[in-house]
Amino acid sequence: MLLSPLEIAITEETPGIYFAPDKGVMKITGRSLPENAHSFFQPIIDWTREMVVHINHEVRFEIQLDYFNSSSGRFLYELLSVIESSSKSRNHLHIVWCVEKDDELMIEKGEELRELLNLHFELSLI
Amino acid sequence: MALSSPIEKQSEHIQYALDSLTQLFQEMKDHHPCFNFRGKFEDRFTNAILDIANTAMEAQKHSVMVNRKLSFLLIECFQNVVRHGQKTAVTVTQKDEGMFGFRNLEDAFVINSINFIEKNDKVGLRSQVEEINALDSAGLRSLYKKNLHNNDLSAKGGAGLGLIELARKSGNQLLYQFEDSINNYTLFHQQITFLHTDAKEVVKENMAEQAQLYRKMERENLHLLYKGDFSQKSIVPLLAILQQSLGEGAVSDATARKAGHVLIECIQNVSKHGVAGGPEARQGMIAIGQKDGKLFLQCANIINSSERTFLTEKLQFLQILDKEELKAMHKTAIKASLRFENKQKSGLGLIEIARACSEPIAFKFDRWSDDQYLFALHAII
Repeated sequence: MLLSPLEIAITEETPGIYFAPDKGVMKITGRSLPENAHSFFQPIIDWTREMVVHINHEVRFEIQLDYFNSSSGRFLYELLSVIESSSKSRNHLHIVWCVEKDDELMIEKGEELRELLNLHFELSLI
Repeated sequence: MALSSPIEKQSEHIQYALDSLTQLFQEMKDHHPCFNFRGKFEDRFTNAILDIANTAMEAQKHSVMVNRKLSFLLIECFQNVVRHGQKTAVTVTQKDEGMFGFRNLEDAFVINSINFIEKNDKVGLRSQVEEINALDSAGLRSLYKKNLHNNDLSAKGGAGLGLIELARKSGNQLLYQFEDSINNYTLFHQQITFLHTDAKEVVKENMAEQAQLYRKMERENLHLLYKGDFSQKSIVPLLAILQQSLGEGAVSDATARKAGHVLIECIQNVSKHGVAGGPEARQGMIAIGQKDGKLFLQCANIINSSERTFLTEKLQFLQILDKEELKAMHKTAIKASLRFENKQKSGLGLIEIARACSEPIAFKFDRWSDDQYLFALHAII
């Protein structure tokens, strides 16, 4: 089944979203500081819930964030949990946590998510 | 893990720093926004400073014309300091070229700058400012035109045009004073008054207060002080000035980023635990400085008494946890948060602050009113 890509333009407070699993690519880039992280992430989580049951080929999911607030962290975890919940997406999605090599906090956050989730989860230092 | 009393963990100098912050909060309680930056002045800070001022002034709903003039005055004043501020031997070692700030004083808006000039330039500068202050608007206009055509422009692109423009656009005299400093340098202190006449007592007194504030910031090695709106909109420009002023070698990139994380969580914590409604809603204060080679970030805001117990218990608990325990606690909390109905209050903010710190978070409460406290937090990165 073909899914139309999910695209949300990057702003100073919210990340850019480009989810095109049919092309084998999913990306979150920028920073995520919205006060109401729930209203930003909920549609993305809903979209992902639809997507995970249909996925049947390899997808590289890159997450490159330089800042995210604690409530965005909570929703990012929820988003990844949704991916973990379906064996199709769990097996086909390859998560790449891109982080600058001296960004201790973001490395730590990536490691933590990796420990929390049963996913292909790679830390890529740039 | 040794269980020590959380109170003992707050050393004397941190108590002093917290007291100093709450005292400033008291002094500035009617003036918001307040912004002060001490350090190295760079052209590239201009946008962030402008954004901070514009965000903070939005609530006052001035006309487009007033807002434009305000932006002009801020830019002109700040860039004057950048261009003409003398880089002394002292400032090179201390990374301190003076102070720039703005604040609301009742219905006036004032912009202050303190920077080093050569002692020999004092006489010339004084006569320039005196000449400007003696003129009415027509006189300023013709002086501006005359100097515009004057070929004798200084290498820095000046000819006093900046000063003339500050007087014209503000509609007030330029308040100034000189203070002789070490070696051959003099501190030039200037105040631009906008939206109201400079004859007001509170406006004149502010000159001395700003000079004192500069001393205090110097003594306590504070780089940044902001009091005002803690709404979502203030985060981006405050983060920008923090990154720009700390990014260039003052501290490591990793430390600057951690400070950024703490700043974000502090501001959003205020919007969650700060008092709702009324003039104090979402008013907060942030101070950033360095002590013993470490960066610290302080935050103060008014809370309802009912929040005090929650914050005390949570912070005292966090104070005794080590890095691994904090990590484990965060993992548990983030897992649990998926099961909570209230998706807005994840309770993760304070844990995140604790994790970004190299020492336990220190804090205090001062009685503010019958049912409110002033809450202050000190985070050492």
